[in-house]
Amino acid sequence: MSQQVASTAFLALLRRDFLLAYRRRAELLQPLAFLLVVTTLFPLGVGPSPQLLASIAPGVIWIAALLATVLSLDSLFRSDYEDGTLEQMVMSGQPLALIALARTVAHWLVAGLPIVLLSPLLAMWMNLPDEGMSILIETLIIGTPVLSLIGAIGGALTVSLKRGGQLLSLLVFPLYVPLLILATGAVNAAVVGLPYTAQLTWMFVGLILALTLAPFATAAALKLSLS
Amino acid sequence: MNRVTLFFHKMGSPPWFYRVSGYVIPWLWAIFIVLTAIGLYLGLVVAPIDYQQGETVRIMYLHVPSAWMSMMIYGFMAIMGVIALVWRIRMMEVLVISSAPIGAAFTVIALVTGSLWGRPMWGTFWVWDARLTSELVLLFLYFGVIALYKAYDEPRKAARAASLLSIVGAFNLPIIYFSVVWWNTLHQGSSFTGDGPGIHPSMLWPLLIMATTMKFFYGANLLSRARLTLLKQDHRKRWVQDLLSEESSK
Amino acid sequence: MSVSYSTFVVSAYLVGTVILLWAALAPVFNKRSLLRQLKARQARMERSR
Repeated sequence: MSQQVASTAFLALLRRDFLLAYRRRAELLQPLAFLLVVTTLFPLGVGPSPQLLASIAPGVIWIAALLATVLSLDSLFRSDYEDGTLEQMVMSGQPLALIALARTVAHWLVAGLPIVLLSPLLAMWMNLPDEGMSILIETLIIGTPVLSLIGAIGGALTVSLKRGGQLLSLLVFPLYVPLLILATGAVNAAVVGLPYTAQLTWMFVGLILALTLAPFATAAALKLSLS
Repeated sequence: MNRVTLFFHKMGSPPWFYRVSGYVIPWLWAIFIVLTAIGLYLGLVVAPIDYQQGETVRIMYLHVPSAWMSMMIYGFMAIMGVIALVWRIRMMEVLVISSAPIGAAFTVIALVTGSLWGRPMWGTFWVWDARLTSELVLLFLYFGVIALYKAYDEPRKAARAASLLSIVGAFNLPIIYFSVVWWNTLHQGSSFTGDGPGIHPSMLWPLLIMATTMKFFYGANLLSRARLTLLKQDHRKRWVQDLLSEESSK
Repeated sequence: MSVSYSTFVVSAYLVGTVILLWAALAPVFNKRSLLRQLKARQARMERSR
């Protein structure tokens, strides 16, 4: 019985998040525009040499993805915190981890998935060889949910702070480092023809861990922020 | 005052503008369709294929006019922006903000068709040469103007902010272009647009006709977007209410 | 060339047509829905008088 209620709550929250996202879609496009602009800055900064761009492409694209994700994380819980909805959710009696997971899933769908979809464009700009492109997309599919999951913890921790946004980046970037290393390692390996399954496997392990543990950390952080 | 000044004064009034533009728009579309038909026929059927580029040179008839439009519209936005800010003319604000999406659309067309032209020619969809890079930066400038407008709640303030940004952007655009050219020569980037030794008249005519027809597209689309913006902003005002009852009694 | 030159020409004009169509039609659709909304609101206000 309570399982049914929980799943209904989960879906209801998802639906609400999508409706809210649709109403603010101009706001959601900004991190994606940021993704494009930042990627463009790299060739302008290091020169358009195709070989140079190709060699830094995996790192540049992944760093741009990290930056764009952090931008979109700040507003994850903020508006609900400000109008009191967050408090209502905490007091609702529904498992808070589930609520956190719903919010994270919605975030990934509107902020992380578009990054995956835009990655071929970025790969083209950065001259990433074709061998690397499919692996890049794979790393992004596995990695961006982790970015949302871990980022939600940061967002929950900083939601009650005035200048939370700046602090948020400082908090989550160190946590993102293993992901960045594994992902760029995988793509670089693929480009030169070396095996990359180890890196992808570890990233997948990270995803499972994050999926099972991060919502609880986010819930604890939300309770802390509201106390 | 003379007829010209009177005309511009009247155009500043939303209900007047709305009515007059309603008559003009169908004509603009008609001219657009006719000219496009002629231009496409001349460009896709009649014009010869290039010795080196083959059929792909036909992309030029869409790519070049779009690139020209993307820059022209931004220039118009800046000029209208100055008029809007200095003389506080509301219609100008509306025209500035209505132009932005059209300019952005032309910029995207220029970029995509440029990529598709480059792939069979130089083997790559994208190359960081001076013109493509400047065009991409122009697209980001358009995005910025549109995003800034949407961020404000109050429409007139939003339009004024967008006007200011487009003026700043227009001022920066030549600087950006030249810096990118310089950056390009520094790194010896390849140039995408292989301008050959002068253009043959059989290719020049379709190009000019397509360039002209896009201006009619801009005119028609601009007026129709401006009317929509006026309706949205003035929906409480008398002239819109009268319009609605006129429409429903038809 | 695995794809002929004409594929690129066709795709280029296709993209151009789609984008220009969107640019031209967006205000038309928005105007229709706006007028519908306004008429509905007017009707509601008439009824409540």
